[in-house]
Amino acid sequence: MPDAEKKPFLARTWVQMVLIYLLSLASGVLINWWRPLSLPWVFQADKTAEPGNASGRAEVGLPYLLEALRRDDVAVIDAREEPFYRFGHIPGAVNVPPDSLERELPALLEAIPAHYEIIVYCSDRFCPMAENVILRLASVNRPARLFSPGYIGWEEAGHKIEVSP
Amino acid sequence: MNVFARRRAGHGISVILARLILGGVFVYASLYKIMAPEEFAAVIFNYRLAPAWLVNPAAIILPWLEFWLGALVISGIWLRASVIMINIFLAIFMAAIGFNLWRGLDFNCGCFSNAAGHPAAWLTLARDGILLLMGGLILASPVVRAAPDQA
Repeated sequence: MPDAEKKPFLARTWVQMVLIYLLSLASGVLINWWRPLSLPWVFQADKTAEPGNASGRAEVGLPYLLEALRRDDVAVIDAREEPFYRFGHIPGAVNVPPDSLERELPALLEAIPAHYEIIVYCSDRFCPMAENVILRLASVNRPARLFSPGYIGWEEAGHKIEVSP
Repeated sequence: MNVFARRRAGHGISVILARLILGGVFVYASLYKIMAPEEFAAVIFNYRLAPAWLVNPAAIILPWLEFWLGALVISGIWLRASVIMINIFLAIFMAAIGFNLWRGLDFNCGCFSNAAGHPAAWLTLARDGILLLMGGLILASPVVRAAPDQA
């Protein structure tokens, strides 16, 4: 290519790269804004802390959940999106995806006896869906605990998972 | 068809294949991350390389960058710009994985899924190296170099 043509060619490539970045930025911002549970722009550093820390949330770890699952007065809620639940979840967990929380809440509250302990999890300690379910349950006076290692922690520890067809 | 025409035609087919594979991998890799940015944020955080303020913005924007770059490479629109960006993307990604493997960090690469069980390994680096070569092949092709209106 002659030198005279090279400059506009390179300039056009640069402009296209900037436009691709702007397109990605706009898509990310819009879809995140539209999602029912938008990811906050600021990373919540307190979520990296260990269970029982200063964040004050009622969190439980793996030993607690294993012990609780031996009892029959425990309800475990998987707060992830439905496809992930189908790929694998903690045995006996009920799926309440964030989109259907409001719709399923009355039936859920009816299905879980008042004296049951409720434990909620999502993917890991960073994902906000479980907290959202916990907050919603707290608003109807049903306290719940967060299983902070989440599904990833459960799977990594080598415990049995259940797959839904 | 003379030998030069045959060679050009063969080169064209290999470039189209490289575009389809490279673009397809990028689009596929982006889908899970687009669906679950909060999980991808955890993956980025676990690389222990990005400052905390960059984690969530990256988790929101990067999957879409992957998606659009893949779609553009498949479609052939803005091919040169998108392949250059993909190669930069892959080079940064390989540097991050290589550095973490070198310092012995056990982490999820977040390549195609955010879930655990996809730990980064030297094989991941090799796979990205192959993708980088494909990007190089596309960039070096006469189609991209000599046709500014197409690129």
